[in-house]
Amino acid sequence: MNFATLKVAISALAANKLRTSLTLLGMIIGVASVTALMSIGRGVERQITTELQAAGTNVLFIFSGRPGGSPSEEPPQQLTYEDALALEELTWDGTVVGVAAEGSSRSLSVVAQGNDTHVSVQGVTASYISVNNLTLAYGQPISEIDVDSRASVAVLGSKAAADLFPDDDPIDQTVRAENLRLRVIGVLEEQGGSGGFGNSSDNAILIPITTAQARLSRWVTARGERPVNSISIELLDEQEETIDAGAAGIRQILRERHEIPEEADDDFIIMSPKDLIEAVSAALGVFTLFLGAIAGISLLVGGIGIMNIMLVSVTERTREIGIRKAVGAKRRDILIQFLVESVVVSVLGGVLGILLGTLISFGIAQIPFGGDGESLQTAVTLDIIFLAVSVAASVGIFFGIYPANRAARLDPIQALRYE
Amino acid sequence: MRDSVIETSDLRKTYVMGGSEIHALDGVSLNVERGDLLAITGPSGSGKSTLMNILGCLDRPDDGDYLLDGEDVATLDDNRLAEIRNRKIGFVFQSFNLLPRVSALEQVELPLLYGGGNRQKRPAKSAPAAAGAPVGAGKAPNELSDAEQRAGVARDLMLQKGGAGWRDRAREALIAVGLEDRMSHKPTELSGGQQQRVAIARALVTDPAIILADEPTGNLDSRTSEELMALLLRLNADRGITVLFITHEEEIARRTNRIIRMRDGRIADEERGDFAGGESSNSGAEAGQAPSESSIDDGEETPSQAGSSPATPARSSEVAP
Ligand SMILES: Nc1ncnc2c1ncn2[C@@H]1O[C@H](COP(=O)(O)OP(=O)(O)OP(=O)(O)O)[C@@H](O)[C@H]1O
Ligand SMILES: [Mg+2]
Repeated sequence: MNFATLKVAISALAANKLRTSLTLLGMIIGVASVTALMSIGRGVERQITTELQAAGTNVLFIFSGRPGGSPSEEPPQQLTYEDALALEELTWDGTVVGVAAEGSSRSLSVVAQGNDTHVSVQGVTASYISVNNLTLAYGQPISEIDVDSRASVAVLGSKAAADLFPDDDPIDQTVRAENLRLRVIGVLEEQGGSGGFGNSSDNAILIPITTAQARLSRWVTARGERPVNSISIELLDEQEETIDAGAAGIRQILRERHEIPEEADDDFIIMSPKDLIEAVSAALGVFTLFLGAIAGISLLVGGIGIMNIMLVSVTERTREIGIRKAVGAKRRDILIQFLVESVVVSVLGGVLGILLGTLISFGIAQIPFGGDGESLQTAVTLDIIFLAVSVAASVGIFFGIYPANRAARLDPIQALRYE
Repeated sequence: MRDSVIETSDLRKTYVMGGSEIHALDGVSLNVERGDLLAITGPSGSGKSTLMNILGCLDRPDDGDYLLDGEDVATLDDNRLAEIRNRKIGFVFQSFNLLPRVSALEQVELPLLYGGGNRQKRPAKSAPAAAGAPVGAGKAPNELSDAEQRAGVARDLMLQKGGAGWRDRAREALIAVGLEDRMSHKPTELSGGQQQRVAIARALVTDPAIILADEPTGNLDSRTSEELMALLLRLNADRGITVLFITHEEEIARRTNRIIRMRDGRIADEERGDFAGGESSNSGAEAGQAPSESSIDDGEETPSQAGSSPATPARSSEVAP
């Protein structure tokens, strides 16, 4: 192939502008829908992994449950505040820098200055805010003293603060939830999104875990311990060895405390955000490809359009093919000429389709949806562009090869006689 | 020893139409020497076009041998045939067969576009001469004057430069057919005679050994026909290109030095001689004979010319339009 071949292809396409544009349109729609749908998938993927990463990649989360979901066993024991306190032991050698627990939480209606809202009131340990990478916008965090003294203090999530105190400084104000009167000591910065693990802290109120245990949920386990929803462990760093050592220490302590026999499985799950991010992004990657594949059907239709038009073009230009063969064109020359033509259409359609798809994807990102007025994040990434262009080119080759081959195999004398 | 450029023996082509067989060619043996000027006549349906298409490697015979420039065409694959059509043959059709929407210059460039291997042709011819090889050794260049050889070398240089060289060669061919002021015209912007001139330039541009023309003037008025025939004859006389053409007009046929008359797929009659000068020899009996095998041993790209061309020895590098 050379420049002359390309020129011939383009002038042949230009000779039939309307037909070429309609064929192009088929490709453009196909590629645009692939680009737009995949950009949504990729956007969701990004959003979720960013949130997961925000929680910190050097944190291990412990939940009650059976790894691998082993069936037909008694339900796993609850994790307890006592478990969390026992895990503090791990901080002695320095691999673990913090242990935090969250429990005795309840969803409640809270009132302040005549404003009320529905929030999750969460009992947390003093280390919870730092271990979970939350930051205070202003005020004080919950301290060890607050936890020890079961102080009636609260740190508000950003949304809870805005709902309860739209105009005023909430610090030192009082919020009431059921029989609790809590003094606001701090407000968290907005965390955004769904908040990594569990609930977002934006619409939550954090109170000392001991206060929650005493005032919100007095329930205790069979062994007389106070249950928590999750324990998070902050590690020194996110090195593989640190994570493994941390997990091993946690297992040892918890198995001992839960009196799990040697051969039995754990009754808790240790999850590292790294694993989770990998698993989630792998799953979302498949989801993105799946979206792309659905949109790919329209690309297929575009490809069939190309094939159709190329077949018409070959028939129409039979005589031209005969002339070219008569002056010395080989099969390969004719094959390449028609193939270049279909690839030019498909790649041009691909490029225009990416532009249109990017516009659509940008448009989608502007449309608010859902209750909180947030919009879907979209991302047209390089790999989507690369995929779209290469799929478009492949479509051109795949659907162009049959018509081109038909042209190339024409018998010169019959082609010249064709009327 | 005469140098055959075309040698066929017992060519056959049969079409089956609705159960009945049509013997379009029914045993044609023909020998054409380099530089010959040959007219083929005969009634409609006698197989002239069929023969011409086979000679031009556009079609293959069902049976019989065809040696073109010493090469057995039957053994060649499609790609080689395409190369031969490109390099050795220039075909001129009754219906012009120009590409639609393409300028005259680009029409003429077309064979160059497909003839990548073409670049080797000229050096192969001129190398022995440059090395002082004896002319009688059978490897003489195609009777080129010094000036023409130099032009050829210059052309090769241009060819190596690619597109620009093609353009110059195409331009040169169009000048040779007298279309220097119509280069950028498209077929719809040219008269019939001008279109056929473009077709001749296209046939000429690769410097072929043979030009085959199937009723080249069939679609043209007599005055234009006259001019075009003069052009073809000049190409034969001045450049030594072997020219075969089909015509229905006896008057035109008689301007050659050899007339083949066909009937029912056979050569019915053959006349040789300088008809213009009145002398003529009827050699119809010879026509059916197979050519002697001895003359085809020299099966190389550039068989000898051996200075036996019937064309005028004095050659200008260009045909005056
Ligand atoms: N593709 C084909 N299929 C069937 N028969 C054919 C085909 N091509 C040629 N013929 C037949 O072969 C015979 C020779 O045809 P050809 O075209 O060679 O004649 P011609 O001498 O060129 O005639 P004209 O002077 O009219 O051009 C005719 O009888 C024709 O009908
Ligand atoms: Mg004919």
